Amino acid sequence: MSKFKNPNVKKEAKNERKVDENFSYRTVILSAIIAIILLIISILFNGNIVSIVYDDLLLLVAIEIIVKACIILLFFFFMIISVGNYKELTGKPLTWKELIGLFILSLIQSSLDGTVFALTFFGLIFIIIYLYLIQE
Amino acid sequence: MKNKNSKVLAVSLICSFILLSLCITPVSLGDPIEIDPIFGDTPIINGDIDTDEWKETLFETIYLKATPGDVGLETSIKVIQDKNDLYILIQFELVPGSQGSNGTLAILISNTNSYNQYDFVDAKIVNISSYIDYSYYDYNINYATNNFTADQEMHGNGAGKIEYQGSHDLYTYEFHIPLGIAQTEDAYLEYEESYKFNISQGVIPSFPEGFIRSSNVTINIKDPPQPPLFNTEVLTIILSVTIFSLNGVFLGFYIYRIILLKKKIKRIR
Repeated sequence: MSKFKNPNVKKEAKNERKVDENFSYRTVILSAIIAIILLIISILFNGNIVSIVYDDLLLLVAIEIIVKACIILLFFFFMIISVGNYKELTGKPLTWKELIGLFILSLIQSSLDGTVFALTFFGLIFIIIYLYLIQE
Repeated sequence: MKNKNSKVLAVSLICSFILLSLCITPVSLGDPIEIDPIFGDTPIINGDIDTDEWKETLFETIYLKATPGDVGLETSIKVIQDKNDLYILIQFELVPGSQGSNGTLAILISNTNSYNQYDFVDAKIVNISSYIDYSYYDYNINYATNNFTADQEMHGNGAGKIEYQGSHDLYTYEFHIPLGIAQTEDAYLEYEESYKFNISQGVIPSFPEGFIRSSNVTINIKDPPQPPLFNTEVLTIILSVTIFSLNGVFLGFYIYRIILLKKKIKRIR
């Protein structure tokens, strides 16, 4: 057995780690940008600046509630991906503290509408349970 | 002895009959109903009912009776209240020409919640002549002295109109009665109190002989709604700005941390 390590193997491993880091960093950035876009859309809908409801049509009211809740859930989902990868790059795991922080930041976006709040709350719980179950 | 008892019984019956007859006055006719006014938009008192007027409330039905046994004239009534005033809409139908082109309606107002005719101190009267011309009268009434006099200063307002509708004439009367103002010649209607109103219908505006039939209603005057302590709209805007600013600050800080991480990775490499 050779006493010296093959420098090519070391270089390859370093390159592989560099590719992984780049990939993670890109995910952090991309997910954060998507989350920002979703937050802007959330401001428009959940801040009651934009509405798709006219003539108090029940169907449109229902669609708007679902859209409002889905935007917040997607925001939470992409933020979790971004923060999770960020923490991985720093070498630390995602803790309950960050998870609860993101949970609150997402949920308060729906605080102006009781129905959206309830729907978002259960949606967030569902996402957290899903992420907990799929982790190794 | 038997003869004496019969006499006493007969005298008692006659006395009871006389006393009962005295009590039967136009004010006591009709079964009273209780109305809780709805707070709504102020109607224009002109005898015309626009589509936007009086829409907040539904009609109640009363029967204006000439005698206690009378079936009565079916009459629809709506009552709306705003901050300072009470508005009453009254409609009924009569056979065309049964009263010519005239019609009079009086609202007698009690200053208590009792049927005692002496408590009815105020009368608002609208007399319609020639279908569309109307006059409003404000009277001070005093049953004790049988004195019915026009007020020196008129308060409130009233209007009326008769519409020919083929098989019947539709009589419409609108009244505006001020609330919470103590007037010497009018009934003082206070908030959160109930008052008896007598609605009398007739042909000529001469009280009481010009009136044919009447009915009582109780109207519960409500306290005007208090303005909300906080403006909900402003509160919502403040809440929205706070919530989304918080999110924005967090995301800004997070982006800053990502940029720092990028620099850190570069340094390590």
